[in-house]
Amino acid sequence: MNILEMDDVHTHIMGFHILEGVNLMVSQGKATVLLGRNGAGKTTTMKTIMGLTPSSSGTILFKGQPIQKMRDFEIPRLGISLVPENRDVFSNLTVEENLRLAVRNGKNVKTERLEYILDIFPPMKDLFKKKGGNLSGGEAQMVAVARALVNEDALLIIDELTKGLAPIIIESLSNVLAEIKKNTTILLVEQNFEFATGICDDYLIMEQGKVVHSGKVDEIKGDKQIQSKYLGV
Amino acid sequence: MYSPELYLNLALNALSVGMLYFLICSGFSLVFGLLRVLNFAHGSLIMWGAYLGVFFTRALSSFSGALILTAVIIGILGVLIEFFLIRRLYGNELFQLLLTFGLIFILDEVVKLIWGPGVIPVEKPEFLQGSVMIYGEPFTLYRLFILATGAIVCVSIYLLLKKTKLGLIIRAGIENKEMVRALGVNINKVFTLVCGMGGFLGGVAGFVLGGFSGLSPEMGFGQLINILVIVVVGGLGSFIGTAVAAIILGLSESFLGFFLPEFAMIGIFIVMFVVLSIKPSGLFGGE
Repeated sequence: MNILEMDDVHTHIMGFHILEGVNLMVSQGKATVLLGRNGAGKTTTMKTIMGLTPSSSGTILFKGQPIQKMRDFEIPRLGISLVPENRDVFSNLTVEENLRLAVRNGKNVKTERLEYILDIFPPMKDLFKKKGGNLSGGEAQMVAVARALVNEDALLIIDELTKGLAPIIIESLSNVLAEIKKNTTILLVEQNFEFATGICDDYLIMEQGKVVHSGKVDEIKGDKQIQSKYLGV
Repeated sequence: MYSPELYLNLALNALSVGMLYFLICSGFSLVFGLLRVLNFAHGSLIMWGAYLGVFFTRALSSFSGALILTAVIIGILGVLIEFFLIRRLYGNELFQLLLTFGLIFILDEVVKLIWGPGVIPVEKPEFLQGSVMIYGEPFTLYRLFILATGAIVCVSIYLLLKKTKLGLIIRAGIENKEMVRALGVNINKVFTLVCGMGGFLGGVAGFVLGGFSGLSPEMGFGQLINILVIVVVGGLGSFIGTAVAAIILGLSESFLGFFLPEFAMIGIFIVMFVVLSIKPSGLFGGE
Protein backbone atom coordinates (compact mmCIF):
# COMPACT_ATOMS: atom_id res chain seq x y z
CA MET A 1 0.00 0.00 0.00
CA ASN A 2 1.27 3.47 -0.88
CA ILE A 3 1.18 6.12 1.81
CA LEU A 4 2.19 8.87 -0.63
CA GLU A 5 1.66 9.23 -4.36
CA MET A 6 2.53 12.05 -6.74
CA ASP A 7 1.01 12.03 -10.20
CA ASP A 8 2.31 14.39 -12.89
CA VAL A 9 3.14 17.12 -10.40
CA HIS A 10 4.45 20.40 -11.79
CA THR A 11 5.84 23.21 -9.66
CA HIS A 12 6.91 26.69 -10.73
CA ILE A 13 9.01 29.00 -8.60
CA MET A 14 9.20 32.66 -9.67
CA GLY A 15 8.32 31.69 -13.22
CA PHE A 16 10.85 28.85 -13.41
CA HIS A 17 9.50 25.39 -14.17
CA ILE A 18 11.21 23.33 -11.44
CA LEU A 19 9.17 20.13 -11.22
CA GLU A 20 8.22 18.96 -14.70
CA GLY A 21 5.76 16.17 -14.00
CA VAL A 22 6.92 14.22 -10.98
CA ASN A 23 5.47 10.73 -10.55
CA LEU A 24 6.40 8.80 -7.44
CA MET A 25 5.09 6.37 -4.86
CA VAL A 26 6.21 5.76 -1.31
CA SER A 27 5.24 2.43 0.25
CA GLN A 28 3.88 2.41 3.78
CA GLY A 29 6.28 1.07 6.38
CA LYS A 30 9.28 1.33 4.07
CA ALA A 31 12.14 3.78 3.75
CA THR A 32 12.43 5.33 0.30
CA VAL A 33 15.36 7.41 -0.84
CA LEU A 34 15.11 10.18 -3.39
CA LEU A 35 18.44 10.45 -5.16
CA GLY A 36 19.73 12.85 -7.77
CA ARG A 37 22.32 15.45 -8.55
CA ASN A 38 22.20 19.03 -7.27
CA GLY A 39 19.39 20.98 -8.92
CA ALA A 40 17.44 17.86 -9.91
CA GLY A 41 14.42 19.08 -7.93
CA LYS A 42 14.63 16.90 -4.81
CA THR A 43 14.19 19.64 -2.23
CA THR A 44 11.43 21.27 -4.29
CA THR A 45 9.66 17.91 -4.34
CA MET A 46 9.81 17.78 -0.53
CA LYS A 47 8.57 21.35 -0.24
CA THR A 48 5.79 20.71 -2.74
CA ILE A 49 4.59 17.71 -0.72
CA MET A 50 4.58 19.91 2.41
CA GLY A 51 2.74 22.73 0.59
CA LEU A 52 5.60 25.17 1.16
CA THR A 53 6.09 25.61 -2.59
CA PRO A 54 2.61 24.70 -3.89
CA SER A 55 2.28 22.68 -7.07
CA SER A 56 0.93 24.28 -10.25
CA SER A 57 -0.79 21.09 -11.41
CA GLY A 58 -0.93 17.37 -10.77
CA THR A 59 -2.14 15.28 -7.85
CA ILE A 60 -0.54 14.48 -4.52
CA LEU A 61 -2.23 11.79 -2.44
CA PHE A 62 -1.45 11.12 1.21
CA LYS A 63 -3.20 7.96 2.46
CA GLY A 64 -5.44 8.31 -0.60
CA GLN A 65 -6.46 11.89 0.24
CA PRO A 66 -5.60 14.69 -2.21
CA ILE A 67 -3.42 17.26 -0.46
CA GLN A 68 -2.15 19.42 -3.33
CA LYS A 69 -4.73 22.14 -2.71
CA MET A 70 -4.33 22.20 1.06
CA ARG A 71 -2.67 25.08 2.85
CA ASP A 72 0.87 24.50 4.10
CA PHE A 73 -0.03 24.34 7.79
CA GLU A 74 -2.83 21.79 7.20
CA ILE A 75 -0.56 19.18 5.62
CA PRO A 76 1.61 18.41 8.69
CA ARG A 77 -1.60 17.99 10.71
CA LEU A 78 -2.47 14.98 8.54
CA GLY A 79 0.56 13.19 9.95
CA ILE A 80 3.56 14.29 7.90
CA SER A 81 6.65 15.77 9.48
CA LEU A 82 9.66 17.35 7.85
CA VAL A 83 13.33 17.54 8.74
CA PRO A 84 14.44 20.33 6.41
CA GLU A 85 17.72 20.53 4.55
CA ASN A 86 19.17 23.24 6.80
CA ARG A 87 17.73 21.71 9.98
CA ASP A 88 16.02 25.02 10.80
CA VAL A 89 16.31 24.55 14.54
CA PHE A 90 15.15 27.81 16.08
CA SER A 91 18.31 29.43 17.39
CA ASN A 92 16.61 31.67 19.95
CA LEU A 93 14.62 28.85 21.50
CA THR A 94 15.99 26.19 23.82
CA VAL A 95 16.00 22.58 22.67
CA GLU A 96 13.07 21.89 24.98
CA GLU A 97 11.15 24.81 23.42
CA ASN A 98 11.99 23.58 19.92
CA LEU A 99 10.40 20.25 20.77
CA ARG A 100 7.42 21.80 22.55
CA LEU A 101 6.71 24.07 19.57
CA ALA A 102 6.21 21.00 17.39
CA VAL A 103 3.50 19.51 19.64
CA ARG A 104 0.21 19.75 17.73
CA ASN A 105 -2.21 18.51 20.35
CA GLY A 106 -1.53 19.79 23.82
CA LYS A 107 1.09 21.94 25.41
CA ASN A 108 3.94 19.60 26.24
CA VAL A 109 5.60 16.60 24.61
CA LYS A 110 3.80 13.43 25.72
CA THR A 111 5.82 11.36 28.17
CA GLU A 112 5.91 8.24 25.97
CA ARG A 113 7.07 10.27 22.96
CA LEU A 114 9.77 11.92 25.06
CA GLU A 115 10.93 8.51 26.27
CA TYR A 116 10.97 7.26 22.67
CA ILE A 117 13.02 10.28 21.58
CA LEU A 118 15.46 9.88 24.47
CA ASP A 119 15.81 6.17 23.66
CA ILE A 120 16.87 7.11 20.14
CA PHE A 121 18.96 10.12 21.17
CA PRO A 122 20.24 9.56 24.74
CA PRO A 123 22.49 12.70 24.67
CA MET A 124 19.40 14.88 24.12
CA LYS A 125 18.57 15.05 27.82
CA ASP A 126 21.70 17.12 28.46
CA LEU A 127 20.77 19.60 25.75
CA PHE A 128 17.27 20.57 26.84
CA LYS A 129 18.23 23.96 28.28
CA LYS A 130 20.72 24.78 25.51
CA LYS A 131 19.73 27.39 22.91
CA GLY A 132 19.34 26.15 19.35
CA GLY A 133 21.94 28.66 18.18
CA ASN A 134 24.58 27.12 20.46
CA LEU A 135 24.29 23.57 19.11
CA SER A 136 26.94 21.84 17.02
CA GLY A 137 25.96 20.59 13.54
CA GLY A 138 25.41 17.05 14.82
CA GLU A 139 23.40 18.24 17.83
CA ALA A 140 21.24 20.47 15.63
CA GLN A 141 20.52 17.55 13.31
CA MET A 142 19.60 15.42 16.31
CA VAL A 143 17.16 18.11 17.52
CA ALA A 144 15.69 18.55 14.02
CA VAL A 145 14.97 14.81 13.79
CA ALA A 146 13.70 14.65 17.39
CA ARG A 147 11.35 17.56 16.69
CA ALA A 148 9.90 15.64 13.75
CA LEU A 149 9.26 12.64 16.02
CA VAL A 150 7.27 14.52 18.65
CA ASN A 151 3.85 13.78 17.11
CA GLU A 152 4.03 10.12 16.09
CA ASP A 153 3.40 10.99 12.45
CA ALA A 154 2.86 8.40 9.74
CA LEU A 155 5.37 9.84 7.27
CA LEU A 156 8.73 11.39 8.04
CA ILE A 157 10.34 13.41 5.27
CA ILE A 158 14.04 14.06 5.74
CA ASP A 159 15.99 16.35 3.45
CA GLU A 160 19.77 15.85 3.27
CA LEU A 161 20.24 14.31 6.70
CA THR A 162 24.00 13.86 6.39
CA LYS A 163 24.83 17.22 4.81
CA GLY A 164 27.86 18.80 6.44
CA LEU A 165 28.19 16.17 9.16
CA ALA A 166 31.31 14.28 10.24
CA PRO A 167 31.56 10.56 9.21
CA ILE A 168 31.24 9.37 12.81
CA ILE A 169 27.96 11.27 13.24
CA ILE A 170 26.68 9.94 9.92
CA GLU A 171 27.34 6.42 11.16
CA SER A 172 25.29 7.02 14.31
CA LEU A 173 22.47 8.56 12.25
CA SER A 174 22.34 5.38 10.27
CA ASN A 175 21.43 3.48 13.45
CA VAL A 176 18.91 6.18 14.36
CA LEU A 177 17.08 5.87 11.04
CA ALA A 178 17.03 2.09 11.35
CA GLU A 179 15.30 2.53 14.71
CA ILE A 180 12.80 5.13 13.42
CA LYS A 181 12.01 2.94 10.41
CA LYS A 182 10.47 0.34 12.70
CA ASN A 183 7.50 2.63 13.39
CA THR A 184 7.46 5.29 10.67
CA THR A 185 7.52 5.46 6.89
CA ILE A 186 10.52 7.50 5.74
CA LEU A 187 11.09 9.51 2.58
CA LEU A 188 14.72 10.50 2.55
CA VAL A 189 16.41 12.94 0.21
CA GLU A 190 20.09 12.15 0.20
CA GLN A 191 23.26 12.72 -1.77
CA ASN A 192 25.29 10.27 0.28
CA PHE A 193 24.70 7.12 -1.79
CA GLU A 194 26.33 4.67 0.62
CA PHE A 195 24.41 6.00 3.60
CA ALA A 196 21.06 6.03 1.81
CA THR A 197 21.29 2.62 0.24
CA GLY A 198 22.43 1.15 3.56
CA ILE A 199 19.12 2.08 5.17
CA CYS A 200 16.44 2.38 2.51
CA ASP A 201 14.32 -0.27 0.82
CA ASP A 202 13.24 1.63 -2.31
CA TYR A 203 14.86 4.29 -4.42
CA LEU A 204 13.77 7.08 -6.76
CA ILE A 205 16.15 8.99 -9.00
CA MET A 206 15.35 12.51 -10.12
CA GLU A 207 16.77 14.39 -13.03
CA GLN A 208 15.67 17.75 -14.40
CA GLY A 209 12.49 17.89 -12.37
CA LYS A 210 11.31 14.34 -13.07
CA VAL A 211 11.65 10.92 -11.51
CA VAL A 212 13.57 8.98 -14.14
CA HIS A 213 14.22 5.70 -12.31
CA SER A 214 12.72 3.85 -9.40
CA GLY A 215 12.88 0.40 -7.87
CA LYS A 216 14.39 -1.63 -5.04
CA VAL A 217 17.61 -0.36 -3.52
CA ASP A 218 19.22 -3.79 -3.91
CA GLU A 219 18.89 -3.43 -7.71
CA ILE A 220 20.74 -0.15 -7.90
CA LYS A 221 23.52 -1.14 -5.51
CA GLY A 222 25.14 -3.22 -8.24
CA ASP A 223 24.12 -1.09 -11.21
CA LYS A 224 27.22 0.98 -11.88
CA GLN A 225 25.78 2.36 -15.09
CA ILE A 226 22.84 4.08 -13.39
CA GLN A 227 25.02 5.21 -10.50
CA SER A 228 27.45 6.80 -12.90
CA LYS A 229 24.86 8.29 -15.26
CA TYR A 230 22.50 9.88 -12.76
CA LEU A 231 24.38 10.16 -9.51
CA GLY A 232 28.01 10.64 -10.50
CA VAL A 233 29.02 7.87 -8.09
CA MET B 1 26.28 70.76 43.82
CA TYR B 2 23.01 68.84 43.52
CA SER B 3 21.58 66.71 46.29
CA PRO B 4 21.20 62.91 45.95
CA GLU B 5 17.44 63.40 46.39
CA LEU B 6 17.40 65.55 43.26
CA TYR B 7 19.26 62.90 41.28
CA LEU B 8 16.77 60.29 42.47
CA ASN B 9 13.86 62.49 41.48
CA LEU B 10 15.47 63.11 38.10
CA ALA B 11 16.04 59.40 37.60
CA LEU B 12 12.40 58.60 38.45
CA ASN B 13 11.18 61.25 36.02
CA ALA B 14 13.52 59.86 33.37
CA LEU B 15 12.22 56.36 34.01
CA SER B 16 8.65 57.53 33.59
CA VAL B 17 9.54 59.15 30.26
CA GLY B 18 11.30 55.93 29.25
CA MET B 19 8.25 53.89 30.21
CA LEU B 20 6.02 56.20 28.18
CA TYR B 21 8.33 55.70 25.20
CA PHE B 22 8.22 51.96 25.80
CA LEU B 23 4.42 51.97 25.81
CA ILE B 24 4.41 53.98 22.59
CA CYS B 25 6.88 51.64 20.85
CA SER B 26 5.90 48.23 22.21
CA GLY B 27 3.04 47.54 19.78
CA PHE B 28 5.07 48.72 16.80
CA SER B 29 8.02 46.56 17.85
CA LEU B 30 5.87 43.46 18.38
CA VAL B 31 4.24 43.78 14.96
CA PHE B 32 7.51 44.47 13.17
CA GLY B 33 9.27 41.62 14.98
CA LEU B 34 6.90 38.97 13.66
CA LEU B 35 5.40 40.40 10.49
CA ARG B 36 8.37 42.48 9.29
CA VAL B 37 5.86 45.22 8.51
CA LEU B 38 6.82 48.78 9.44
CA ASN B 39 3.40 50.01 10.47
CA PHE B 40 3.85 53.76 10.17
CA ALA B 41 0.19 54.16 11.14
CA HIS B 42 0.99 52.95 14.67
CA GLY B 43 1.33 56.58 15.77
CA SER B 44 -2.17 57.25 14.46
CA LEU B 45 -3.51 54.25 16.39
CA ILE B 46 -1.93 55.79 19.49
CA MET B 47 -3.61 59.11 18.68
CA TRP B 48 -6.96 57.36 18.31
CA GLY B 49 -6.30 55.66 21.64
CA ALA B 50 -5.78 59.07 23.22
CA TYR B 51 -8.97 60.59 21.79
CA LEU B 52 -11.12 57.53 22.50
CA GLY B 53 -9.60 57.30 25.98
CA VAL B 54 -10.72 60.81 26.86
CA PHE B 55 -14.11 60.24 25.22
CA PHE B 56 -14.78 57.00 27.11
CA THR B 57 -13.45 58.34 30.42
CA ARG B 58 -16.04 61.11 30.19
CA ALA B 59 -18.81 58.85 28.89
CA LEU B 60 -18.31 55.96 31.30
CA SER B 61 -17.06 57.93 34.30
CA SER B 62 -14.71 55.00 34.83
CA PHE B 63 -10.98 55.43 34.28
CA SER B 64 -10.07 51.74 34.28
CA GLY B 65 -13.15 50.81 32.23
CA ALA B 66 -12.25 53.47 29.67
CA LEU B 67 -8.66 52.22 29.52
CA ILE B 68 -9.73 48.64 28.80
CA LEU B 69 -12.44 49.62 26.30
CA THR B 70 -10.06 51.94 24.43
CA ALA B 71 -7.34 49.30 24.22
CA VAL B 72 -9.80 46.65 23.02
CA ILE B 73 -11.26 48.93 20.31
CA ILE B 74 -7.82 49.93 19.01
CA GLY B 75 -6.86 46.25 19.17
CA ILE B 76 -9.85 45.39 16.97
CA LEU B 77 -8.81 48.21 14.62
CA GLY B 78 -5.36 46.57 14.43
CA VAL B 79 -6.98 43.24 13.57
CA LEU B 80 -9.11 44.81 10.83
CA ILE B 81 -6.11 46.63 9.32
CA GLU B 82 -4.15 43.36 9.14
CA PHE B 83 -7.04 41.24 7.89
CA PHE B 84 -8.31 43.56 5.18
CA LEU B 85 -5.21 45.51 4.16
CA ILE B 86 -1.75 44.41 5.30
CA ARG B 87 -2.39 40.71 4.61
CA ARG B 88 -2.48 41.42 0.88
CA LEU B 89 0.92 43.10 0.96
CA TYR B 90 3.24 40.71 2.80
CA GLY B 91 6.64 40.76 1.18
CA ASN B 92 5.95 44.03 -0.64
CA GLU B 93 7.68 46.64 1.52
CA LEU B 94 7.03 49.58 -0.79
CA PHE B 95 3.28 49.00 -0.86
CA GLN B 96 3.24 48.42 2.90
CA LEU B 97 4.91 51.79 3.36
CA LEU B 98 2.44 53.49 1.03
CA LEU B 99 -0.50 51.76 2.72
CA THR B 100 0.49 52.61 6.28
CA PHE B 101 1.34 56.20 5.30
CA GLY B 102 -2.05 56.47 3.60
CA LEU B 103 -3.67 55.20 6.77
CA ILE B 104 -1.99 58.00 8.73
CA PHE B 105 -3.76 60.61 6.59
CA ILE B 106 -7.12 58.85 6.81
CA LEU B 107 -6.98 58.24 10.56
CA ASP B 108 -5.70 61.76 11.30
CA GLU B 109 -8.28 63.48 9.09
CA VAL B 110 -11.16 61.52 10.62
CA VAL B 111 -10.04 62.71 14.06
CA LYS B 112 -10.01 66.30 12.79
CA LEU B 113 -13.52 65.86 11.39
CA ILE B 114 -14.88 64.54 14.69
CA TRP B 115 -12.94 66.47 17.32
CA GLY B 116 -11.54 69.40 15.33
CA PRO B 117 -7.97 70.32 14.42
CA GLY B 118 -7.07 72.14 17.64
CA VAL B 119 -5.23 71.04 20.75
CA ILE B 120 -7.54 69.76 23.51
CA PRO B 121 -6.21 69.94 27.07
CA VAL B 122 -7.01 66.89 29.16
CA GLU B 123 -7.74 67.02 32.83
CA LYS B 124 -6.29 64.09 34.69
CA PRO B 125 -8.67 62.08 36.87
CA GLU B 126 -8.87 63.32 40.41
CA PHE B 127 -7.05 60.38 41.94
CA LEU B 128 -4.06 60.98 39.64
CA GLN B 129 -3.76 64.68 40.30
CA GLY B 130 -1.13 66.02 42.65
CA SER B 131 2.11 64.41 43.70
CA VAL B 132 3.77 62.32 46.35
CA MET B 133 6.98 63.19 48.16
CA ILE B 134 9.84 60.77 47.52
CA TYR B 135 12.91 61.54 49.63
CA GLY B 136 11.76 65.11 50.02
CA GLU B 137 11.18 65.74 46.31
CA PRO B 138 7.73 65.84 44.69
CA PHE B 139 6.90 63.20 42.09
CA THR B 140 3.61 63.51 40.21
CA LEU B 141 1.04 60.76 40.61
CA TYR B 142 0.46 60.62 36.87
CA ARG B 143 4.14 59.78 36.28
CA LEU B 144 3.80 57.08 38.91
CA PHE B 145 0.80 55.78 36.96
CA ILE B 146 2.90 55.75 33.76
CA LEU B 147 5.66 53.83 35.56
CA ALA B 148 3.19 51.28 36.88
CA THR B 149 1.37 50.86 33.55
CA GLY B 150 4.65 50.49 31.67
CA ALA B 151 5.91 47.92 34.17
CA ILE B 152 2.66 45.92 34.00
CA VAL B 153 2.69 45.94 30.19
CA CYS B 154 6.39 45.01 30.07
CA VAL B 155 6.00 42.08 32.49
CA SER B 156 2.79 40.90 30.79
CA ILE B 157 4.39 40.81 27.36
CA TYR B 158 7.50 39.15 28.75
CA LEU B 159 5.38 36.43 30.38
CA LEU B 160 3.30 36.02 27.22
CA LEU B 161 6.41 35.59 25.06
CA LYS B 162 8.29 33.35 27.50
CA LYS B 163 5.62 31.27 29.19
CA THR B 164 2.87 30.58 26.65
CA LYS B 165 2.60 28.48 23.50
CA LEU B 166 1.53 31.61 21.61
CA GLY B 167 4.69 33.35 22.78
CA LEU B 168 6.73 30.36 21.65
CA ILE B 169 5.12 30.55 18.20
CA ILE B 170 5.73 34.31 17.99
CA ARG B 171 9.40 33.95 18.94
CA ALA B 172 9.85 31.10 16.47
CA GLY B 173 7.91 32.98 13.78
CA ILE B 174 10.19 35.99 14.14
CA GLU B 175 13.09 33.70 13.24
CA ASN B 176 11.67 31.38 10.58
CA LYS B 177 8.04 31.58 9.47
CA GLU B 178 8.30 28.78 6.91
CA MET B 179 9.48 26.28 9.50
CA VAL B 180 6.67 27.30 11.85
CA ARG B 181 4.20 26.58 9.02
CA ALA B 182 5.92 23.25 8.36
CA LEU B 183 5.18 22.34 11.99
CA GLY B 184 1.46 22.75 11.31
CA VAL B 185 0.93 26.24 12.74
CA ASN B 186 -1.49 28.61 11.00
CA ILE B 187 0.82 31.57 11.24
CA ASN B 188 -1.58 33.90 9.39
CA LYS B 189 -3.91 33.65 12.38
CA VAL B 190 -0.98 34.50 14.63
CA PHE B 191 -0.16 37.50 12.40
CA THR B 192 -3.71 38.80 12.85
CA LEU B 193 -3.58 38.21 16.58
CA VAL B 194 -0.26 40.01 16.90
CA CYS B 195 -1.64 42.99 14.95
CA GLY B 196 -4.51 43.01 17.42
CA MET B 197 -2.05 42.94 20.30
CA GLY B 198 -0.06 45.75 18.65
CA GLY B 199 -3.24 47.80 18.38
CA PHE B 200 -4.16 46.98 21.99
CA LEU B 201 -0.76 48.23 23.16
CA GLY B 202 -1.16 51.32 20.96
CA GLY B 203 -4.52 51.93 22.63
CA VAL B 204 -2.97 51.69 26.11
CA ALA B 205 -0.13 53.99 25.03
CA GLY B 206 -2.55 56.53 23.58
CA PHE B 207 -4.72 56.47 26.68
CA VAL B 208 -1.70 57.18 28.89
CA LEU B 209 -0.18 59.73 26.50
CA GLY B 210 -3.46 61.68 26.21
CA GLY B 211 -3.54 62.25 29.96
CA PHE B 212 0.14 63.21 29.93
CA SER B 213 0.33 65.66 27.03
CA GLY B 214 -3.25 66.44 25.96
CA LEU B 215 -4.82 65.76 22.58
CA SER B 216 -3.93 66.97 19.12
CA PRO B 217 -4.37 65.37 15.68
CA GLU B 218 -0.60 65.59 15.17
CA MET B 219 0.31 63.75 18.36
CA GLY B 220 0.56 60.35 16.64
CA PHE B 221 2.68 61.48 13.71
CA GLY B 222 4.87 63.39 16.17
CA GLN B 223 5.70 60.12 17.93
CA LEU B 224 6.74 58.38 14.72
CA ILE B 225 10.35 59.62 14.88
CA ASN B 226 10.67 58.52 18.51
CA ILE B 227 9.24 55.11 17.63
CA LEU B 228 11.64 54.58 14.74
CA VAL B 229 14.68 55.76 16.71
CA ILE B 230 13.86 53.51 19.65
CA VAL B 231 13.24 50.33 17.64
CA VAL B 232 16.40 50.95 15.59
CA VAL B 233 18.52 51.61 18.72
CA GLY B 234 17.04 48.55 20.46
CA GLY B 235 17.56 46.36 17.40
CA LEU B 236 14.82 45.84 14.83
CA GLY B 237 12.50 43.07 15.94
CA SER B 238 13.86 42.75 19.49
CA PHE B 239 11.21 43.36 22.11
CA ILE B 240 13.72 43.49 24.99
CA GLY B 241 15.82 45.83 22.87
CA THR B 242 12.84 48.16 22.51
CA ALA B 243 12.29 48.24 26.27
CA VAL B 244 15.96 48.92 27.02
CA ALA B 245 16.29 51.56 24.28
CA ALA B 246 13.14 53.33 25.49
CA ILE B 247 14.53 53.55 29.03
CA ILE B 248 17.95 54.73 27.78
CA LEU B 249 16.33 57.41 25.64
CA GLY B 250 14.09 58.49 28.53
CA LEU B 251 17.16 58.79 30.76
CA SER B 252 19.20 60.67 28.17
CA GLU B 253 16.38 63.07 27.37
CA SER B 254 15.65 63.87 31.00
CA PHE B 255 19.24 64.19 32.17
CA LEU B 256 20.29 66.20 29.12
CA GLY B 257 17.20 68.36 29.56
CA PHE B 258 18.31 69.15 33.09
CA PHE B 259 22.05 69.54 32.73
CA LEU B 260 22.42 70.56 29.05
CA PRO B 261 18.97 71.81 28.01
CA GLU B 262 20.24 73.00 24.62
CA PHE B 263 20.97 69.35 23.72
CA ALA B 264 17.69 67.93 25.04
CA MET B 265 15.96 67.92 21.66
CA ILE B 266 18.79 66.07 19.93
CA GLY B 267 19.54 63.71 22.82
CA ILE B 268 17.84 60.72 21.21
CA PHE B 269 19.80 61.24 17.99
CA ILE B 270 23.08 61.44 19.91
CA VAL B 271 22.21 58.11 21.56
CA MET B 272 21.28 56.63 18.18
CA PHE B 273 24.55 57.85 16.65
CA VAL B 274 26.65 56.38 19.47
CA VAL B 275 24.83 53.02 19.56
CA LEU B 276 24.76 52.49 15.80
CA SER B 277 28.41 53.51 15.46
CA ILE B 278 29.36 50.75 17.89
CA LYS B 279 26.71 48.17 16.90
CA PRO B 280 24.98 48.92 13.59
CA SER B 281 22.28 46.29 14.21
CA GLY B 282 21.21 48.01 17.45
CA LEU B 283 21.60 46.94 21.08
CA PHE B 284 19.81 43.59 20.79
CA GLY B 285 19.61 43.21 17.01
CA GLY B 286 20.94 40.15 15.20
CA GLU B 287 24.02 40.49 13.04
